Amino acid sequence: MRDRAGILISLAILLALCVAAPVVGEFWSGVFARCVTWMFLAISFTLAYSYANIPSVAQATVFGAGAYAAIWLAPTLQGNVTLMLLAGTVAGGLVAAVFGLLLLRMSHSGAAIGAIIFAVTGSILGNAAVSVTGGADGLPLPALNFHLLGVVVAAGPNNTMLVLSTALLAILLIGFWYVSGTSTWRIVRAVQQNPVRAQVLGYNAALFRVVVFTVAGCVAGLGGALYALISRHVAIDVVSLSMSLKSILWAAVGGVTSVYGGPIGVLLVQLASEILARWTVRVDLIIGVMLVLIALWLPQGIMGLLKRPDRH
Amino acid sequence: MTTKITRRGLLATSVAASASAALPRIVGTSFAAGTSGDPIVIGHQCELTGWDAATGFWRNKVATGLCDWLNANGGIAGRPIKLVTVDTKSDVDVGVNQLRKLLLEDEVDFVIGSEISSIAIASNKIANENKRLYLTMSSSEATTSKDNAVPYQFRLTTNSAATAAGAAQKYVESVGPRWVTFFADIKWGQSERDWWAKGVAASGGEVDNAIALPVDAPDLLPFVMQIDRSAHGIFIPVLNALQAIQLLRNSGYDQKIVLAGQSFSLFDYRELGEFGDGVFGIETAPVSLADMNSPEMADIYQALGIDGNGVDADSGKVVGSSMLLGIAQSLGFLKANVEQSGWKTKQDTAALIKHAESVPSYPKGPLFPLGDVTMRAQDHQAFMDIYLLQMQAGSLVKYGVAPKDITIYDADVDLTQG
Repeated sequence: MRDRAGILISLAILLALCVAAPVVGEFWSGVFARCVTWMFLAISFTLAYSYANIPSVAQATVFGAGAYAAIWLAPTLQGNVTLMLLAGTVAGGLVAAVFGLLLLRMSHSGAAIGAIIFAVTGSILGNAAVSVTGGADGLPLPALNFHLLGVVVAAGPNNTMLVLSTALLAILLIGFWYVSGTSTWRIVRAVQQNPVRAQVLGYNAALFRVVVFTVAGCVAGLGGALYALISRHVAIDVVSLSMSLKSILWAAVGGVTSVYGGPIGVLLVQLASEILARWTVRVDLIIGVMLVLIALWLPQGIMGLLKRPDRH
Repeated sequence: MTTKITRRGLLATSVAASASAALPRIVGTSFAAGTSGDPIVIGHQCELTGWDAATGFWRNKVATGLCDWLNANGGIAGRPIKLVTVDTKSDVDVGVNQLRKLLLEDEVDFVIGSEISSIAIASNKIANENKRLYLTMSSSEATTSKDNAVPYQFRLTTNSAATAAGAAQKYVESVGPRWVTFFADIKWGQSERDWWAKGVAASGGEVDNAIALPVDAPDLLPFVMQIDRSAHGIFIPVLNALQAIQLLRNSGYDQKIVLAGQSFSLFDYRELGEFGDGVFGIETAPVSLADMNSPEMADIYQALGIDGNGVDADSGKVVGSSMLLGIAQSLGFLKANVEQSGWKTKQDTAALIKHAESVPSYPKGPLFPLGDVTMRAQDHQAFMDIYLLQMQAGSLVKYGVAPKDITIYDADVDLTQG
């Protein structure tokens, strides 16, 4: 079932970011651009958790795969942004496909533990392979003439990259909105709600789950590639377990059962953090309290407010 | 309980009294009182939280205290100073974002940069793009070498190459020729590893083995156990030096240990207890005033509420002396060059840099409290005496001094060529 309110709110938020960016100045437009890249990560978690039924706390690993793929391949691709984004998307999809195939062989709780192991292993390997990943110091985006469809674009936290990221996210959300009204999506929902029953009805539940998880990986990988282009620097922290936990936090605040919740969650948490940091260094503590309050009174996140109250 | 409160109250009162007593003396001897005009805004990209908060504590305390001190004593070029401090959370992503805030939102005139090499390397190029002077506090030589050197960056503290060049000979002579390096596998640790190996080789010794420690290694023991027990000395540039030393001693390693440059700012040396006896360090400043012939440093200690043994009255912590000196000298560099170059606004920063490149040294004074500092124009790196310290009978004392001339290594860039 298509969520018309969700898509309209999401698109309105993205539009508002683009309109506000020239007004609020270069710093904030950079903050917005980075937020948009994290929205991809939050959506990726929601897709994995709520639609592939895989409690993945390794989504940042997939996001990082996209970011590193973009950085590594940038010189080979001669700064072609389209190909760099494609590389990130494919890298994210490949890593997620491998994760997904392994995680599906485990029980639900086993998959959660397995995802944690993947996340930690990815971080340890990334730190160990310093010559490849730059480790904690990271790798800079090579200084190249970046171009998109023949037009020169400046990498970095700027308005151009904000508009590009926002446009891609809008296309993604509209695409999801369309797909969510199709019969194929109803099967995805059926598999998510009861894979055994879907299997008995003749659907290959495992295939559906791994495909959705791979798509979630592509979304994270695309976000990672955008992150590399905007931050111009990728360090191994980006694949850390704490980064994955952030994606869960964003999704939970926005509403983990709705793809449209992730963007709202990212914006709320990150903007609150940014503003609070001006007065206190205990930002994480305040955000933690905020999460507890939301968990207590808004278990379905901000998007839960849009749901109609029960009639009885 | 009553005794504790009373003692703390007395201590605070006495420190406040001594600080207030010290300031007029500094005013009288060093600066003109009173400031006017628009403030000069200095941004401070500091590790207030996260794994490097121990060093950030000192940089924050010293920057805040010395800016207050400067403001009470004529400011810079008669203008007051406004310090804007941001927290990097010891994280590259946050650190870079906070630098952008300083540059774009707060529109600071100058930045005192991060101590973490990864943040510093990612930040200096952004500062350079924005034509804002970035005074890096990172001690990784890589921060100012050819891949990362930028015109709008200077370093007023020492670095891994200089400390190795200055300290290796003395330690090879006193400890022995065969060494093992146990290093954090990040730019700083790699830089320390490489330069220590060069310094030891130049002194007739040899580093037999270098063991890389991933920064997120949950357990140090498997890495510690790779250390060759027959080596004479173990050189340690790791972030968790305290844990590493305790583990080495508990594992029966009794070799001499040398902590890499400025590591004693990462923790309070007293936490080492009996494990610390004999451990060496390489710092830009000793801890105890008794080890320094410096009335200027005594003034700074008094103004900041630090006693003669280097203990902070407010927190009870032992001073991160190298952090203190780095911040003091960075402020001293700004003061000298703003006043001498006639800097008025950000548009004058390029001219200030050109002027700074023409200043070969900064004489000992209130903000250069431990002696003359040489500035190399080619890579914008300062050179100063290096203090070799050792823990003896529970105290961290001066073991020797490497004069700044022997810490100078070859530069691999020349920023003066534009």
